[in-house]
Amino acid sequence: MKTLHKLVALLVVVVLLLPTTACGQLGGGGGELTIGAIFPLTGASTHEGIDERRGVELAVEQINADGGIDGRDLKVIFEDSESRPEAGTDAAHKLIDVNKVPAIIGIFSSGVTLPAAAYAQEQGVVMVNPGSTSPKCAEVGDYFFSTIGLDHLMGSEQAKLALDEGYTKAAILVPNNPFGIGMEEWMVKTFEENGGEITTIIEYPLAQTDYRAELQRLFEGDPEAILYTAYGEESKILTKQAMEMGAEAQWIGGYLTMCTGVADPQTVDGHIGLEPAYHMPAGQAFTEAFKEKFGEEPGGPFSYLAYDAAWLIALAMREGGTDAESIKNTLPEVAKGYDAATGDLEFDENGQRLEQPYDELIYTDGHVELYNQ
Amino acid sequence: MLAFLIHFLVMTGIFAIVALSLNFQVGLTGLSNFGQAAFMLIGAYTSAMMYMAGVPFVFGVLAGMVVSSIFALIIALPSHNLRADYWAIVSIAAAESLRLFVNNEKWLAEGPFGIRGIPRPLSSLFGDSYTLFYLVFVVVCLAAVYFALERLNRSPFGRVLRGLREAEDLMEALGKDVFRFKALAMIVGGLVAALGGSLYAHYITFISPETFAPDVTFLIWTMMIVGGSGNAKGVLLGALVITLLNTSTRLLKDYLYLPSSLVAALRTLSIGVLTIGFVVARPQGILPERRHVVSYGKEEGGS
Amino acid sequence: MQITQLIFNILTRASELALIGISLTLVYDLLDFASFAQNSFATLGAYLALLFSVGLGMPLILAAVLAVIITGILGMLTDRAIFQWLRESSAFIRMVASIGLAQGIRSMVQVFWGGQIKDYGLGVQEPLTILGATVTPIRILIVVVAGVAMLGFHLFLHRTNLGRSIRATSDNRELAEATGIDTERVVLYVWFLACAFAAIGGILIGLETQLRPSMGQVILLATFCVVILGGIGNVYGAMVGSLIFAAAENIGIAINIGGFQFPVRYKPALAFIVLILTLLIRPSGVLGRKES
Repeated sequence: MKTLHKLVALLVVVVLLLPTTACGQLGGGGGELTIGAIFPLTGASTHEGIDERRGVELAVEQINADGGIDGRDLKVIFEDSESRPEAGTDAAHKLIDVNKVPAIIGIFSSGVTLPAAAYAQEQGVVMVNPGSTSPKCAEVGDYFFSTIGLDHLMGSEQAKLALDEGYTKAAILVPNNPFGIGMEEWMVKTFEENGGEITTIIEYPLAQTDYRAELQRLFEGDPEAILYTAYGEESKILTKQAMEMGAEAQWIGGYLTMCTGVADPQTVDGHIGLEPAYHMPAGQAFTEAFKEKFGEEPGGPFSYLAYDAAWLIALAMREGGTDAESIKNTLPEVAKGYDAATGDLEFDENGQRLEQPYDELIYTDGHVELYNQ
Repeated sequence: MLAFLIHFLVMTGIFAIVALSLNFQVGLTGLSNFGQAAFMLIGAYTSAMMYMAGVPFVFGVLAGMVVSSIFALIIALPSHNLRADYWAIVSIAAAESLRLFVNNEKWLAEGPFGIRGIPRPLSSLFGDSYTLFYLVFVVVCLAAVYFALERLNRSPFGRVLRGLREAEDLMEALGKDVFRFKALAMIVGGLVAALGGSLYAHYITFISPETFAPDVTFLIWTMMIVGGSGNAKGVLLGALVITLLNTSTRLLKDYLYLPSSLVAALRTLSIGVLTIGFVVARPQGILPERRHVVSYGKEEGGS
Repeated sequence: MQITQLIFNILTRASELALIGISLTLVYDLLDFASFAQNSFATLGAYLALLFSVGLGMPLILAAVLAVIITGILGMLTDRAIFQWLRESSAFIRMVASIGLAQGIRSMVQVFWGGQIKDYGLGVQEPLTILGATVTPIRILIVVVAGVAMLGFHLFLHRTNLGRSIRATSDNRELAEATGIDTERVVLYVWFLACAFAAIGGILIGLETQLRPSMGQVILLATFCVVILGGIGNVYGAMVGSLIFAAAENIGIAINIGGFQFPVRYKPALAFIVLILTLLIRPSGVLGRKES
């Protein structure tokens, strides 16, 4: 079997050398400036991941049409986090170790973002996050920024909405990950502080096909309202099975379009909730440009937030330098002068968004619209 | 590209260590252990948590090896009177239960969130060239494991283990305490796999229960089968080939146009196809065991 | 929880597990190895039904029947392509091959259909209330289909020539050969039956919840438990085993003694507990296994 051994050895050598030959073409060739982006392009959060990606693509198109970075084109290498932390961290390793990018936009789910962010922080690479809201984001380090407001903003606003609507007895349903736990913390705190009663808290396990046992427990205490947030595919199952169980309560969702994005319209009809606002002029301009480029409206707020992230990095690269440290130092300054698609965008001392305007929404007739009591 | 090469070799080295541990249990002793990922998990978590609590790196790794030996012993207990394939299922069930426990008990190890930002030992010393240093470190560990296991293989202990694989009843008739040898084989394999797990954790800097799903065990099995079970050199080769398939897909997509949804699936598909191919066409692997024995696969015909 | 609700939940869960359990136990019996691939055949069957119904517009029943038949045929083909060559190998080797096959099928499904959740497009089902239990029509259908399939199989085994040949080969292969039964042909037919049953199971799961590439794999441990519980190689054992297992699962979750509830997140561990208890108390299973 000597021939087999030789063949295998040859194969291994060829595959190893293949990338080396084409090495020069990737990254930095032709005066381009490369940054990285990691989004969930497959898996449970594909809907949001694709939205984020498009937001960045649109931004890059506009930036390059506007002269790029001092005449040099901006290029983005997109990686798939597969909605899993392992793949997200692997993507971060690749972008940082192999492609040597100075900045990364990403990711989405806090459980996926945080490990990758830890590595980026350790290696001194800037990471701008348009999707994760766990309070732990504030603890990552000085290279980590968020264009999205964290759980302490959304969680408490969501609880306040429930109270405003007149509900005093609620149950909580969140995913069992840093994002969900962060939301839970703030929803419980605000709701109870203002006299509300929490009947049950369910932290649902990710990526399951059957949640009936969890839902059974959720409705045991006869809650008037369900304060919830859930990722697209899981939300689809949760709301469908809840409806099929005949359970009745008012569902109040955080990041409503994420919760209803891929669900059967019947199962989420009447849900109300909150979401980062984007109806301001800059946001409307983005919506128009998005429709023109992609032929449909953005799926939710995350494309706006990712768009803002991309523009901020580009502006920082223009103002200061194009290496990671310069970007890190310049970002807070350029944010102050930037007219964001999602409103007033300023970073606090931890690099997290200071304030986040929210829209109140209701899901009706198969889509989400502004909600006025 | 050098960075990718170093990364690839580090991953190969780490998996090779775990593959050698599996080879010791399966290839040499004939145990059908499908719970290898659990040993990696124990090693990874123990050393990561201890290092982050201030314990010197080496002690953390050793602690991981000790805990994993205990777990190995527990799993070995039912091997005494269970059929091989029953025991295989028990080993998966035990591994999955451990994983479920770690996942559910947040107080233990952050549950599903995993442990992130695991510090790399001696990182301040090497700065930019850290990965190269780590590669050397992994290679040294691999060499140590390789030679240690080969020594055991050639020793009387190894002969008994091989005897267990071929003819357990005969071994029993000869007065050998079958259970004791099986347990020892499991323990040796277990603590080597734990070492692999620790090396993984401190390199990737993030672990979670999901990291050690059964897919990892099957991956190691493929390395062993493709490379040549029972042959340590073969197993190294198997680790090289399979790790290549596993790590290059993300890089390859930059050169060939591959839609994102395909990349992840193609990786698992190629590994599955490879396993079947080798099991059917060449169960002894690329480098067969260099002994004239009746292998537990097909009869050795002549090539 | 209402007792009727509990019973109904148990029946539905048992129905899904039983069919794949039968698939598993058939292969165990006739081919003497633990096939990790049956759960993947279930997934494949579900997706083929999806292709024919949602993809090609066929009525669901027709699509399902077609998918079941094709999966059965694919089962026969895998025997010819893979397991035929492993007849003389150890059971262990066959098991390893089945693991590779399982991975292969799962990734193929992912390559062709993507990883997103899919469903048969039946929309939301209005729940009915029967005897105090809230059930959707689909779940009633599932129990009925499973029951019919198992009854049909029982009749097949006892009233047809092929069925008799299968039972003869299963009891004593050499003797069956001696009496002129073409055992290789029997093996082929068993593969067809096993994979067809798996496909039905997969389609039922898809009807009740939804389809994703890992749908078969997530219940791997449960189906093995069912088979070991009932007695490996014993088709009726698989049916009984699935009832016991489903009962243990549902009752375990429903228990509420003075506020103590079995944590929902440990539901998968129930499979393991049942397995360990069975192996400790009665390793041959409730109905006993066949010793070949």
